[in-house]
Amino acid sequence: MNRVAKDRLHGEIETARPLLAREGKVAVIGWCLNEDLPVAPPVRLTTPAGTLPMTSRLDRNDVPRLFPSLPAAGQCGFAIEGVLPAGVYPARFEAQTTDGSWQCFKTLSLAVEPTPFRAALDEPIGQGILCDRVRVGGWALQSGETLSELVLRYGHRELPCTLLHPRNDLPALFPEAPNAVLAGFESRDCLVAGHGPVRLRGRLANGRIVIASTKVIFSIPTDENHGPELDLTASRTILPGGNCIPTDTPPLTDRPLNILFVLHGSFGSNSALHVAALANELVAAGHACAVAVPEDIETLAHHVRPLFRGLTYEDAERSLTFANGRDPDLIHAWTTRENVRQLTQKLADRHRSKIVVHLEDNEQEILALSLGRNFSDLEKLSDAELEQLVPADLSHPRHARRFLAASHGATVITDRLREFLPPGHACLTLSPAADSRYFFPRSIPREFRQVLDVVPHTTVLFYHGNVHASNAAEMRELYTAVLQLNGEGHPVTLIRTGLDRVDFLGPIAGEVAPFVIELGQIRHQWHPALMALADIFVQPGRPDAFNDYRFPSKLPEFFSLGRPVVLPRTNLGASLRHGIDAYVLDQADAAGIVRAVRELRCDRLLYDRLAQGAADFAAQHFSWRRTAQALAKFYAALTV
Amino acid sequence: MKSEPAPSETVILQRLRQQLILSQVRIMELEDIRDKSSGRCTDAEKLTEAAQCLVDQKLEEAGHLAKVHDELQAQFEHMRHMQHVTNEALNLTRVQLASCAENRAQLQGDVVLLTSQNARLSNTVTDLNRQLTESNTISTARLEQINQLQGEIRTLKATRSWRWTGWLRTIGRTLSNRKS
Repeated sequence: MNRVAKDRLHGEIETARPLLAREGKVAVIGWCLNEDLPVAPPVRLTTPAGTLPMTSRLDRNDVPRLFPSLPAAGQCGFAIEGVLPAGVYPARFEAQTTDGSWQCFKTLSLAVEPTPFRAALDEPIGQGILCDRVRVGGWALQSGETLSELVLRYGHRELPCTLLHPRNDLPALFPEAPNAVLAGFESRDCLVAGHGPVRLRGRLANGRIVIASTKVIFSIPTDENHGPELDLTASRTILPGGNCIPTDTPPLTDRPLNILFVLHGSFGSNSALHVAALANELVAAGHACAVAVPEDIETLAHHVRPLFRGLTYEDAERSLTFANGRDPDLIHAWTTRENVRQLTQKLADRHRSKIVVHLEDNEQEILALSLGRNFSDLEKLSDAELEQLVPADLSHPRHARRFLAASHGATVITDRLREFLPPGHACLTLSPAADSRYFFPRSIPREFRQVLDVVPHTTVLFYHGNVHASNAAEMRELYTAVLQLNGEGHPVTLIRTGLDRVDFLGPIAGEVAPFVIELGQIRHQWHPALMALADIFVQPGRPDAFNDYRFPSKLPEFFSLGRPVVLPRTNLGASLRHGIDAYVLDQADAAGIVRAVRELRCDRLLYDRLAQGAADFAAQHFSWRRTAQALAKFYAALTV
Repeated sequence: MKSEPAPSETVILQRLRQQLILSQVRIMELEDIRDKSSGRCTDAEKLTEAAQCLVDQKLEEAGHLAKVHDELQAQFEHMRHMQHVTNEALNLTRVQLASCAENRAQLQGDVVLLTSQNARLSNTVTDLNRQLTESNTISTARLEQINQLQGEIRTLKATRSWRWTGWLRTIGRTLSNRKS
């Protein structure tokens, strides 16, 4: 075998690594010495996309100390600059050898960003403030790509431009861009009223949007449609209140448990808020928590910094091991819904875990309402008929009973739900709360309300939550009350978040629409800032088989904001003092709500007392920390 | 709640219009930020894709090198085994060689001994040969003498006197047998 003699090369690349050519521009420095040459060798950078030669030689004071015997050491520094197409390449740094060939002394990877969209205004000005209603022009260039559309954006304005104007000055500035010669543009029309920095927004032939800032501000105060009374330079009124309060850490447990919560819906559901709050508190106390959902794992993003692990049913079935390598000690089935029950039983059998079942609703009533039949009729059906009728996201009456009876313990959101448990069954009432990081007494953002209230002295109500078969009737009462109050000359705006699963308004939909701001489904942590806009919170409803057995999860949030809460004498309302803690109605129907809102609007003392009463009640009764500590004790007793 | 003086509808509408315009400004700014970020994300995705391709290529190369390494390792192991086997054979040969050398020395001693014995025996043989030659010479002389004497006996016995005195010799033998 022939062995080619190699020169003795020394060298290093000193540009920060990993090598990145921002906006397509390569700039690398380093040094290289060849012991077999009296002078520093020429250096080049080779990549599969092209070769860049050394662009300058740099003096080095440090290298001679390393190689005192080599006279070339003092001038062995080099710089390589140039442009390469976007991509990631292996970059070989090579030096010329005594026989004229190139020998590699360093290999690195090089990421080259694409050349950005470049654009500028230069007609009539290239920088500064332009107040005249004139046509403007400039150039816009995306190397190697064709612009199919270009607009100027400033303030609330968007002005289209004509393209392909000749620019003989650009090819010299951008030799790598063959399309530079026709990169000029001009606005189609003269400027119109608007104020703000100018951006150039282009659409490339491939559909991609590209945007470039300029050094120009357009400030056109008036035009045919904007009079001088409209100050376009004014500041936008911003809804404040995105802040949160950090919480301290609870004391650590001396017996950490592995706990799996099984939810019947996604992380976007109200149940998930409770589970997430408890799981976060339990993890902070040293337990390990995982929460399984049937689908939509991406809804975990609805929760801010969850401390627990989110997984799908499928994940849980495939592998369910906690960080300490152990199985779940306990599975907390969040309701008796069929999907929850089936997964819980499967996993509990496999991992020999204890089962705790949580009840948060009258599942029988929900089943009856969802199927549109009486529960007593459903009870009479055969097993086979029920099996066919009950979907996975509802509770099967017989399976649920057996599931509860076989569980090691149960938790209920309200004491009335204990009626569904076998006598003597271990049970804990889990008092729900609001996330104290976000839900705390907030003042009304007056400046924003001045913009929001299109009629003076408007009362703002706020309701967050979905409308479904179970609450459709009472939500209709709330909307009817809003319509009635406005009809009576009491301006009321209802801010509403959440989705409408059923058409619940019928003929009043059109009439009530001007008084309702529908925001759709928004992230839970954004609610408090919107809730701060409200004067009064209303929970519609009346005592019945559905409401008596539930605890609306929004109630702790209403109370925590420190506003008067109007609610019916059922579930939480049954234990509140009317006129002190809240405005408690025997029936929070349209008539009751109208009466309550009118009274609160007229009686400032009552309003203030109930606002303070709500905040006090929240501070005294709603704490996820306390609830989680009670739950941890309950778990500990079950897993001894 | 009714303590503040109510602004006129014109003021409210103007304020609302202004805030709507300012909101539109913000919406357009956010659109630009979104689209700019989206473009950057696309670029970053492409770079990530390219980086992934490069990594894949290098992984493939690394895989190939690992395979080559494994083969070389196997060859090395084989060679080492062969070296071991050869060493064992060599050691055995060395032991055998040492034993052979010992044998050779012993044989050489034997050879020397035998050579000296041989020399001695050769001398003895020479002496014996000489003695034999002498004995042969004597024997030849004696044989000639015997032949001569036997001739004389035959001549004697062929005489008439010997034949006529035969009976005397028989009586003489008989008598000597009786006496004994």
